[in-house]
Amino acid sequence: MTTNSVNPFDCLPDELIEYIFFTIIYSPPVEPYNHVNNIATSTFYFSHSLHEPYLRRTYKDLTSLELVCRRFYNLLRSSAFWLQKCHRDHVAIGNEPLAISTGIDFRRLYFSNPFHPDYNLLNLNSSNQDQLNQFWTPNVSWEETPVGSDLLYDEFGLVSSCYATSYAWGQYQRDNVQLLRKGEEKLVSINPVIEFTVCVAGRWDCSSICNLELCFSNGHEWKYQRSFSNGDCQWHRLVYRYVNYRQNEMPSHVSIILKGKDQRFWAGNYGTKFAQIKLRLALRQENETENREFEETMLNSQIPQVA
Amino acid sequence: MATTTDSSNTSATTTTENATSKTIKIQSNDGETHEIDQGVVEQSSTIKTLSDLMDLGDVPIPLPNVKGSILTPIVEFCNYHKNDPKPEPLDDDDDDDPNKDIYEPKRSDDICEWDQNFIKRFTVQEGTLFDIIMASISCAANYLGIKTLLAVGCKTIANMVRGKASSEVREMFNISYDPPGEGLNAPNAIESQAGTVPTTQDTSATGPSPQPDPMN
Repeated sequence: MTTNSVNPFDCLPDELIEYIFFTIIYSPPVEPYNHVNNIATSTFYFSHSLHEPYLRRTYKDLTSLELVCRRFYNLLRSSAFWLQKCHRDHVAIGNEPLAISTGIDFRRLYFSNPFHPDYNLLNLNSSNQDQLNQFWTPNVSWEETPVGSDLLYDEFGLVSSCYATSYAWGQYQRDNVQLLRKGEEKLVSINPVIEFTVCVAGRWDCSSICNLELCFSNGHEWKYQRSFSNGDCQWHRLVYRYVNYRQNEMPSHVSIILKGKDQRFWAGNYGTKFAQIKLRLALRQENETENREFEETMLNSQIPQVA
Repeated sequence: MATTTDSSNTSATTTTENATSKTIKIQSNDGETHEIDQGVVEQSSTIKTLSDLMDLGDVPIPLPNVKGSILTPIVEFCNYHKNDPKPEPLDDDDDDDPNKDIYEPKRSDDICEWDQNFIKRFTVQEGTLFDIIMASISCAANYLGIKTLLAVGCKTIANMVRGKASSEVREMFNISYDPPGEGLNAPNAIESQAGTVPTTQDTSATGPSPQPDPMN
């Protein structure tokens, strides 16, 4: 068939063939509000739901090329190649050195990244507002923008909606939320951090309180209470990072209950507001061995830098 | 006085003489000489290094790995691009990457029109496309180290292969089939799985996998 022809790729070094592969990329356009900048590292990431189909398409093209010849196969199956590809294509991992040292499969991570900062285990199957509302008791009202409290911005620079509780306990309940999806069982050996965050605020004209409770399937519990005095209408982000479970015995599920109410017994929704409820896995930070809860006040002027 | 390049082996454009511009000569491995100005020199990391290091005068730099039929269009490419703004260094480049200053991977669909027309003159069949790419890289002092042309060439190849079935790619580049797997019976099973993306996170469905993957 082709006796006089030579495979032209033979004379190219591996780095160059990899370079050709690196340039195969499908990417959404960078637009205001669809990505988050990380000033410290000069990188950014896209919203997870926006980015995922593009990543899958790129992955599909590249894995097709694996079948062309042995050399392509070896290059495209190398973890080092995919680590670079993740980095270049803005696949946000978090703690890259840790990811490398724990032997995470970057090839799979490229299209299925449970550590994406925007990936919320609580919103997996529900993206429309009605589906999300079902987890709240009926006496809680949804506010497109907070009424009586400061505005709250998300990491993309958009104003967040919130849920406002009333004079009787209003409650958000999620039972047995699965922490690992099918196929992610190997992540157990990395001992990821289970991170829960929620933003809470009171109204300027009414004091209120809230209770948070997490029950993990291994028996571990975390409880938190916060009250808001009259006039405190700023948002506060509450974070809990569960780190200190037995090695390789990460819990499989967690149940969540959030409750809030006002302290004046007023008709209407003057109780604690909740927003940006998020549950996700994350890579441990350096020297992170203890469980940690902390609170950040979201100052109104802290509008995220949007390119 | 400026002269334009033609396809025979005479000098390339010279700029108007002034005190700060200097031209140097380069010579292909089959004896063609080109005289190039500073704007062209800047684009080739190899030539630039050499001309910075020493005063060459009239002696042409020999390029033993580049033949005249390839060198002439390369000089043409560099002359076209010599007034391009220098690209800003990318902040998110990996500082440890030894290839950092050569490879600037971006997307493959942002090649400008002049470059597209230029690169069309070189084909895979005649081997000229790969000749251009090889001449542009700089893994050895014999090559030229021209980032922009390298990018255009590689992106062109990327565009040729993206979205194609592996058998089409093999045919395009005359690559012989050597599956890293069981044998002649493997190909059919593999081809039918080509390019599949697992929709669930099932460990057994990671796409075409002719060999048990140690990573899985």
